[in-house]
Amino acid sequence: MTSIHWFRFSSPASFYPLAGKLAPWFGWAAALFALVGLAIGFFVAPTDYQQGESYRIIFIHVPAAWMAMFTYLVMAGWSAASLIWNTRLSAMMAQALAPTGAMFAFVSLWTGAFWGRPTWGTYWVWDARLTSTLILLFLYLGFIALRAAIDDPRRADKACALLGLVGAVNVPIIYFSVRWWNTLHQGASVSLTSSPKMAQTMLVAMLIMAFAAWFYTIAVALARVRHLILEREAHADWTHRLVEDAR
Amino acid sequence: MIEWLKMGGYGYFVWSSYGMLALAILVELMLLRRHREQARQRVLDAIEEDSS
Amino acid sequence: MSAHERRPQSPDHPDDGHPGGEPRAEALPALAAIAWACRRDLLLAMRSRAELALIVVFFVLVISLFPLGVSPDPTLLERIAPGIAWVAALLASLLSLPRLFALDHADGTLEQLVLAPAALPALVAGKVLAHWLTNGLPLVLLAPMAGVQFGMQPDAIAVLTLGLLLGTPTLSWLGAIGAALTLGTRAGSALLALLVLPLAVPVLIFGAGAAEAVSSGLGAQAHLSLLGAGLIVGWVFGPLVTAAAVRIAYE
Repeated sequence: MTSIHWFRFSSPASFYPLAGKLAPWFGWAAALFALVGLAIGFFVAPTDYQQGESYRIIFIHVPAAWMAMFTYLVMAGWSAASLIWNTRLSAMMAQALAPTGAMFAFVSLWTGAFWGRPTWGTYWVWDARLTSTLILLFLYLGFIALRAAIDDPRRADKACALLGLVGAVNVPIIYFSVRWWNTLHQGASVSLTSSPKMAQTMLVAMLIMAFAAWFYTIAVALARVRHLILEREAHADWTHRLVEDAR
Repeated sequence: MIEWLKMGGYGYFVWSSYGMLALAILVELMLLRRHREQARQRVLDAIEEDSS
Repeated sequence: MSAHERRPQSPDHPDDGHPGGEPRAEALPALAAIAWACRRDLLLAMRSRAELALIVVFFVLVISLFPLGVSPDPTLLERIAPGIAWVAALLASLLSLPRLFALDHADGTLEQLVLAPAALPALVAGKVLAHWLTNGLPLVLLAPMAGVQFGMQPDAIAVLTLGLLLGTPTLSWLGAIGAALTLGTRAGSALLALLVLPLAVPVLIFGAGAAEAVSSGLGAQAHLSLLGAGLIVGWVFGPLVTAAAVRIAYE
């Protein structure tokens, strides 16, 4: 296989068509995996002895939480790349990922609450994981808000990249400190991290759903970055030709 | 079928969770569609500007 | 928009924005730059003494709201006192942060500092030091009074004060990064709060936790060491990251 010159794709103009071709594949893969995952989760996995049918929420709660965390790391990676190599596309990828990451963080909190209520009696517990996810949501919102507050795109790129990196470095510190804080206050000792004893099928379904979430995130990010590229390159000839041909 | 929907009495919790996820995805995709229109419009406006 | 055209003319600016007077070809040594920037900002702060007093009043006001909003029960208040003091400290430090860079940015002084021969991290460090001296230190000195107001034990008050002493510089640095990133944007202080407060959570946890630990008989060693570590990390990396953030605003 001949070597692919990946850097050729680092210009927005050449990445645009590539992203356009890839996005639908990831979208369909996400749908397929979600279908299979949910089918296994609802029809193959057994009822939990303690939690009854309510445990089936984990098939979306845990993948959402994982995606929220993982997406932030990927965002930080793109942010680092954009600062090191001064590439616009890297910054745009980080910008494209943020809303989806925030969405998953929010869904993780919501589903966590609706799982917590029947299982432990309250909608919200200040346990380490939920609290850290809440702070993670704030970090996402801060990133998005900073982007919106700065008009100049290049300045916004760099400012958000710096913020993303500072945030990423802080995430382990925040998680560690929240866990410390939580274990000291044994009153709220019910932790949503104590998942039900996993039957094999439950684990498989959860992993498949995790992949579904990942493919979905990639698909949406690729679609979003195309829109961002169009906006940023609005005065370039290639975008003019593209839009006029489509008319 | 109705029995399955009731989720052993936990239907409210299970479907509120899955419902919110579905809603969130729907909203995201709708916003994505709107973003596409805005981007397209931005290019069209730029074509106008640049040709005048 | 040349920086020289906007040389500050107002009498409010000592030294006309140039380290040591006219721009010098050789770089100013780091410590001298820190001292210069710090002294300059302190002089500026002294001219608006009312604003300094405001921070102190705000802190006391916020603290006083909690018994009113929660309950005057002494046992309860003693338990939540460290948390209240720290949250009030966090909010008070947020108040004055926009002004850290905004005034200098508005009249072009900051741009000249970016161009100055002295290293920007050192100049920024001087500004943040001045900010801490006028915002963080007063809170540290007020802590014992707050502790007494809430009926805390002497050893807990001591640890609360020490914790604030170690932790407020880190808050100043986190705030400086946030202020530099949001320089000149239309966003209000809400954006600054959104950026800074989540990052400040560990400082809050360890600071308040230290006083609580002492109250319940456990040691506060670990908490204070971590705050100390934060202090060092803040002073080592803060200047570099903040300077980078300021440069981003001027590219």
